[in-house]
Amino acid sequence: MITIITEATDNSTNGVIDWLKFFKKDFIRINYEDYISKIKIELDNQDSNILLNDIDVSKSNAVWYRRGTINFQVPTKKVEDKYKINEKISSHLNKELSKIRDYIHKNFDYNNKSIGNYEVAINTNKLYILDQAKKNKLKIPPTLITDNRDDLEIFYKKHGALITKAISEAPLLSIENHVAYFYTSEVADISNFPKMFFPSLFQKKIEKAYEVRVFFIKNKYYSMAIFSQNDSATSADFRNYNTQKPNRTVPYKLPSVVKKRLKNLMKDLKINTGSIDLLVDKNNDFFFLEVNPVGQYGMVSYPCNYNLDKIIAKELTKIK
Amino acid sequence: MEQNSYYFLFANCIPVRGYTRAIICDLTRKTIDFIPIQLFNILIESKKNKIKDIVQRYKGDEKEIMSEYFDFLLENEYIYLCDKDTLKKFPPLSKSWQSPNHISSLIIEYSENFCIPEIIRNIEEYGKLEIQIRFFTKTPINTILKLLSELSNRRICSLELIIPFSNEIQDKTLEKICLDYQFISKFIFYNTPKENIKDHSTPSIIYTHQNILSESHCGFISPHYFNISIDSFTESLYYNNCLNQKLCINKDGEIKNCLNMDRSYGSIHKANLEKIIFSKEFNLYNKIKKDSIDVCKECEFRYICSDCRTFIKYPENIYSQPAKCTYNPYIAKWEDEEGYVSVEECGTYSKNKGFVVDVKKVEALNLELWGG
Repeated sequence: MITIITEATDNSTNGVIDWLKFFKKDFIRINYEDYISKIKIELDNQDSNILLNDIDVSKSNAVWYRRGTINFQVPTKKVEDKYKINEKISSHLNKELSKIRDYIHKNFDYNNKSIGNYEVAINTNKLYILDQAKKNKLKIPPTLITDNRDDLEIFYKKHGALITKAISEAPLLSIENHVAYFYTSEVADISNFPKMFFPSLFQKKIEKAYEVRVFFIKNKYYSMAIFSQNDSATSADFRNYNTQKPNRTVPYKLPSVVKKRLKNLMKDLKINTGSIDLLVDKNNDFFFLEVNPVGQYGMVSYPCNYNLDKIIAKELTKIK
Repeated sequence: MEQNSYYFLFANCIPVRGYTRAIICDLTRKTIDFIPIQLFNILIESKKNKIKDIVQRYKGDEKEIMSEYFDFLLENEYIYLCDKDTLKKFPPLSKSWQSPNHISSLIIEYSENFCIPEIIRNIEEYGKLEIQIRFFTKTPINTILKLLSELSNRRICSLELIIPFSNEIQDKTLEKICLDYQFISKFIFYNTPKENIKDHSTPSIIYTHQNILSESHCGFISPHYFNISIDSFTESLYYNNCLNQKLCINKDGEIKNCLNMDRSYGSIHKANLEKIIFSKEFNLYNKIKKDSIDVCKECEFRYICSDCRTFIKYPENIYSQPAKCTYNPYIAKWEDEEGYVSVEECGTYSKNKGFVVDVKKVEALNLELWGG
């Protein structure tokens, strides 16, 4: 049996499940949105069992941690709460559940049977990853975190045009019928900045020839080049699509030395699947930007005809 | 332009050669552009040359024309200029077509004699379904609603409903249905008093005064039905893009490849579905790809065009051209264009050899139509 931890609306999961059905493999899908209604974990000197809704997930042959997590309903009671007793108990109950959750995710990682990893996904740190990339001989764009205009001006004088992006995972804001994203954007007119501001990340803007998005699973790497330089709407962040004239997105072959360094980095970071963003500048130098262990890969799979859903399904059926 | 550069054609811009001209299929932007055979040959054969060196092969006017071709390719972002080392980093697009389905398209004529949700439950074992349900008689809205609610938990990718027009279905009702059942992709009301197409809404809602369920409304070949996408392009390389993975059930419960075909594989009430779906007979048409169809195989549109194996020019030859095609690839003219002559006037048909083009005659025709 294959266990999939995901979210209800994740289309990639549907695509992989279609292939698992085609290969006639048993699987269970656990969505973040669906609360686990029955749980039993039993540890003794011979064995450990984890039953979620009466299914023993600890006996899975393989686990795909796609995104989300296992979710339990926390009981709450609306009563007069002068001493914040309820609040404290509720917080304690949440901690109890989170330990159960962590244990289940850790158990999935036994015997290397998991593709994707919850712990790694929730603890991703862009700054730490940049440090590790550098250690693995990958070039990174000069990066600054600051809360004041003076530092920013010095950085600007040294590096020229800058971009800014979220340090954590940027949220998605839904406002009525509109969705707002926190895209990577270019920094304009620093002299208009207030003297002090919220600590923010700035990076030297690399004059790119093209971007590269890499999906990897275990040791297999699938790359796509994105040509967005002709288009001001997408020149800072290609997700800011131009639907009239979509960017050119084509299969790409990473130079073997870059691929080797990326593999070493992912080994150090203990990430066995995810999506990597790179930039290639006009001198053919590669810059590592970030890795997202739970990123979307459909936009790489479809235009490059890589059939990544099938490849993930096959990897899952291979784990014994 | 920097003619000292090397160039590559973006991998999802695929040149396809026809008899008299070629096209570039832009599978990302879903458009096509016509190119002359001469340029097609360069794009296929001279992938590792500097533009300068290609242009240098020509003299006088031809040299200038060749230079203009490359300007055109660059302006439309079909090519990218680069150095020699960069060339090898851009591999071609894989042409494979892979599907997790055995059946992906299901057309059912509505009947009270069988239970559609039950049928779908059996067929969804074989794939994620794009379904079309056709109603021949005015059906009470409650019957339709009941059917939709029973389809809610099925493995449906999209659902098209073709319904005779009735005053009973008001815009408000329709809106609610679309909201409740998001797997609905299209509503077509036929025999309506008014003509109205909301093609760009989701789902699209079409009112037409024609009786679109009659035989004469199927099998058309026209640019209107071109499908310029990676999946359709690659599927057409290996399979018949109309009948591959398709299963039809008519109102008598008969299982067919196409509702307009006589051949029935048995009744849905009694048949062994698994046996039929994997039988050689049922899959006979799947393998009839455009490259093996008369005339189509010499047409530049062959991988983006639809096909029809029911209405064909010579029913005794299953590889003959779709009867309702109005394009002649030998002279690159559509029926409504000036100078059009039919395919039949450009060659001879025989049962053994299929259609064989009369090279001399076509050459003369093209000289007259397009010049030297």
